[in-house]
Amino acid sequence: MTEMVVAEPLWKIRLKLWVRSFKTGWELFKEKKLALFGLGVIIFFAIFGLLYPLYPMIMRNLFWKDDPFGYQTFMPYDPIIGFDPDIVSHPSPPSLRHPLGTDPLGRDILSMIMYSTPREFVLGITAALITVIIGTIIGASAAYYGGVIDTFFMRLADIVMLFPSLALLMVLSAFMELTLFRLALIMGILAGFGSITLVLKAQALTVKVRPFIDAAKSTGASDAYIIFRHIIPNILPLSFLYMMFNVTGAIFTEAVLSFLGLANIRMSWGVIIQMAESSGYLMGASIGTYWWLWLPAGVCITLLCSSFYFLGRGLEEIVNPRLRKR
Amino acid sequence: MLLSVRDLRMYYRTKMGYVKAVDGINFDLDQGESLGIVGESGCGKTSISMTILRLLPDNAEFKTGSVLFDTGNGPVDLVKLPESEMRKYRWRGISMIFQAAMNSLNPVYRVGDQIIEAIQNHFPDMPLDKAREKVAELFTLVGLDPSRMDQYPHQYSGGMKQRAVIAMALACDPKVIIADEPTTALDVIVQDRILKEIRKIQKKLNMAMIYISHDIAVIAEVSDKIAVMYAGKFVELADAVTVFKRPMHPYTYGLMHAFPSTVGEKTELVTIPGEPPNLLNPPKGCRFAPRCPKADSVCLDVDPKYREVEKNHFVACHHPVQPKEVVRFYAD
Amino acid sequence: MQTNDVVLRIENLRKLFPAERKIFGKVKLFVHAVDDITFEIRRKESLALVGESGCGKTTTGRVLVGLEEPTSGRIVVEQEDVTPLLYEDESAAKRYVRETYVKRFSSMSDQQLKSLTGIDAVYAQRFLDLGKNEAKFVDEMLQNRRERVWQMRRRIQMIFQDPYESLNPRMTIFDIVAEPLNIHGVGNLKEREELVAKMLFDVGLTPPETFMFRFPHELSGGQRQRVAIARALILNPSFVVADEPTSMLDVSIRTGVMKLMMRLAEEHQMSYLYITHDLAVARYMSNDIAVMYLGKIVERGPTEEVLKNPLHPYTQALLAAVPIPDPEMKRGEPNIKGSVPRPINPPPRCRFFDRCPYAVKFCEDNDHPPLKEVAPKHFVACYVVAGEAS
Repeated sequence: MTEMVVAEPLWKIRLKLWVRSFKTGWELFKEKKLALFGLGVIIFFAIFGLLYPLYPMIMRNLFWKDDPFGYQTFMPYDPIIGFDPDIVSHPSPPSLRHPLGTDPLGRDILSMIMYSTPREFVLGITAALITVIIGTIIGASAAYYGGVIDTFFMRLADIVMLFPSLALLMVLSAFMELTLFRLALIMGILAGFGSITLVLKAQALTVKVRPFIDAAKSTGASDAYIIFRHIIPNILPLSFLYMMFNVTGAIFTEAVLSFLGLANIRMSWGVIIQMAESSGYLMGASIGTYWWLWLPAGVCITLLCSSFYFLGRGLEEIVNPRLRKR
Repeated sequence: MLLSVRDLRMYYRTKMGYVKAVDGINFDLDQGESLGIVGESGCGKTSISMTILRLLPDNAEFKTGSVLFDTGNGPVDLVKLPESEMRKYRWRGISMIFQAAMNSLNPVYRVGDQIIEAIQNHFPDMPLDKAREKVAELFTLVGLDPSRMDQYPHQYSGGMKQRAVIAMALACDPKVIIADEPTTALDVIVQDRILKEIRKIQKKLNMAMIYISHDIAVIAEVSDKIAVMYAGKFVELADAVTVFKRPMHPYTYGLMHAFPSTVGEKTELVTIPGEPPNLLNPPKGCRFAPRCPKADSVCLDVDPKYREVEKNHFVACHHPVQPKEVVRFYAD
Repeated sequence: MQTNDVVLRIENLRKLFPAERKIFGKVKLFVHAVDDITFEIRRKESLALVGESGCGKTTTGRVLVGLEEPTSGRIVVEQEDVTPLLYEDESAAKRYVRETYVKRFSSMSDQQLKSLTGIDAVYAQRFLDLGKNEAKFVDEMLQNRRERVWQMRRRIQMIFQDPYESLNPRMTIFDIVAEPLNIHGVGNLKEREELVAKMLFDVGLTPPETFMFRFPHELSGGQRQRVAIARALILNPSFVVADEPTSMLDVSIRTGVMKLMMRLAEEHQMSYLYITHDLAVARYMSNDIAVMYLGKIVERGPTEEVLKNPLHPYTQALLAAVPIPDPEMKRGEPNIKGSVPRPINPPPRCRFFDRCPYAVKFCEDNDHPPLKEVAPKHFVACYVVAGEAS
């Protein structure tokens, strides 16, 4: 024997294994209706956001054929500087020209929402990714090394958790311009040193005591090798899960900051609502009258946040065997 | 007969189909007798006890069979009883020493109180001092100092916890005790003491016992009759000496010769090739056939009947091992 | 001298664990997990370390593979003192070299140094060659420490008890078995594939390509343990610590794994330190047996001899307590009192004193008895058996 008969290259086999585990995961996932709903909504928003460039083109061909000059000048479907001169008073209620109406500055709300969608994704996913990378590495290291490193990061997590991060962001906004990317970065880092390290460390501790770690150690594996090759792959599913929850958190925080007018973001769903608020349309009876100023954006925030959350909950049962029915 | 089990079948429902954990089990148990059920992990031996006591998980489906238990006024079929009636026989009629018994004590209650609770659940009229007296009696019986009654489980050693669990099983004067791997986690010296203790108590109270274990040596020490279980079925049942001296099923034969011993000649150990079958879809014919050196086309096709080959010697095999025959397993 | 044959020699190994936690002040209470044990294993021979749970047998194995640091003692693998390599901290290794060699050697004359035997002779010669320069000697002992730690790890491997927990569930069988190759940078991918396939074939997982890219949960217990054995043997170690490798396997599977381990030992010219609580299994897996009680070896000798003629009262009790798979055979009553205490700062007397049926005043007044050869190669640590007390 010893004649090796593995016909396929290794990467191909690994790909196949990956596809297979993905399929079994999908089988389990399929049964979680809420998670499927979440996934559906996320996909809907992704397509919705990607279709944004088409929207002004369609509208232009439908309503501005006769006035190409006006369209050039006022750019009525630009989410930031657009204005529709043909409408006497803004905000205007939903109409064919503006399916979700216009805001007090005469901008098209649907275009604002569509334009913001990919940005919400970028913000949420960037922040969550940073959180999870930091949290996973710190959680795994703290569990593996223990001692001073563990104590340091756990106390740090306590401080971060007790610290009102919203207040910190408010203070920070006074010192620097909180652009979309900066905001994602700061939120990601803040959350990364926070509660997620506790959760992932707890998980890593259960991995650390398993004999396969000892087996690798006794063969001479370095600390980094054990952390990255053994501990992290075993807590990664949980990290991924927390990433979903963190997307929710990041989008939500951004909305709050924008609503308070503290973030330097030109357009986002939070900014749309802030616009309505600062122009006084959220007060008294006008909240009902001018519903299109806040309701669509609010629904979008709620839907996208909850869909990531539902997706996370659905994944939780796949990832965490204790929740799975055997 | 105190307990007589006929054609007992209990399957677990899973996504992939039925796991045939208990698939047609027959045995009788008399007063004062002890039956040892020996089998490998996953063969369904624990499921038998759970089926008899009707302590089954939600996905378990009882299929057929009867468990006739002699209550003193005639036999009752336990499987047909409503749950409220069944509760009367559980613990009072048949009690159980669970696997990993050391974990079955609640760490936040005193050991004595836990046993008193068990007693009062079944005899609500018994006054507390009477119950305490009873517990003290039980402690002495299992070899524990009655003064330890008011201690917590963590103050007990492994062996002591095991004794306390045995005391609990004895609390309601059962007629039958099922001991599921009663000494598996214990060291040999402690195991030896516990086994002797159980045996002594059994003799003294003239109880019937069912021992369940993977360890043939343990079963050999404590049982009058031995049943060998393989893949959900009994393959052989006879009195202990016969099973050891003249095993008729090739599996039993292999098992007996696979078990190392500290005494006697150092003999070549037998390796049974292959692995036990998956109970989701066991082989069509004899379940041992794929691993059996004596198997032929009949074995692969027809499930052998469990029959009384000699008096009180039941075997399920088409080609029982003859006296003096040497079976060669073809592993390695 | 036949020392060349000795693969492993452990001298006065001691491992203490703190039994209390203190932030200020020194820890005074220690669990004496392994307390001054000495044994050696020759090439192709195996020693079974037998005892009840908590006797220190697993700790001994873990020290050998570098999972625990020894508190004191010397471990010699194939004529090389590897003890300095077992300390993670370099200063601890330095301290060890000074205490074990430099201090002793520098107080000796050249004559005395030359008359040393065994492993000491080798190092004494080096000491002389270096002109008795202490600093140079220490440096040389610790030379290439990292590199040598690696080499040592290759030579000593371990098989763990629980086949369900000792394989990473997220790695394929190929990745698991190839891991030691990976860590030690052996061969390229193609060569590793071949080595793994050959190893899998050797441990009876055939055909290898059907097993290589499965995950541990798709295998049965016996198959998993075979994977663990393949992983331990792929670097061709001279010595394997096997920690109860068959205790969690079913009987019908167990003998297969036992036989496999014996065959591989023969083929790979290696030795086992076979850690087990099961005397019957030890009988089949070892040439020599050492019985441990509370961190001490109480009896040591050829396996059959010890089983046929146990001399230490603890070994006798242990053997009498083992159930016999034969209902007609009646065994004796284990003659032993009480239960195993925890070895926290044990009093200076025979460890077995409290439970011994033969204990006399002498046993209480003297320290734990040393191992004494009472029959050829049969050592017992008991004053009564050795005839020193009655």
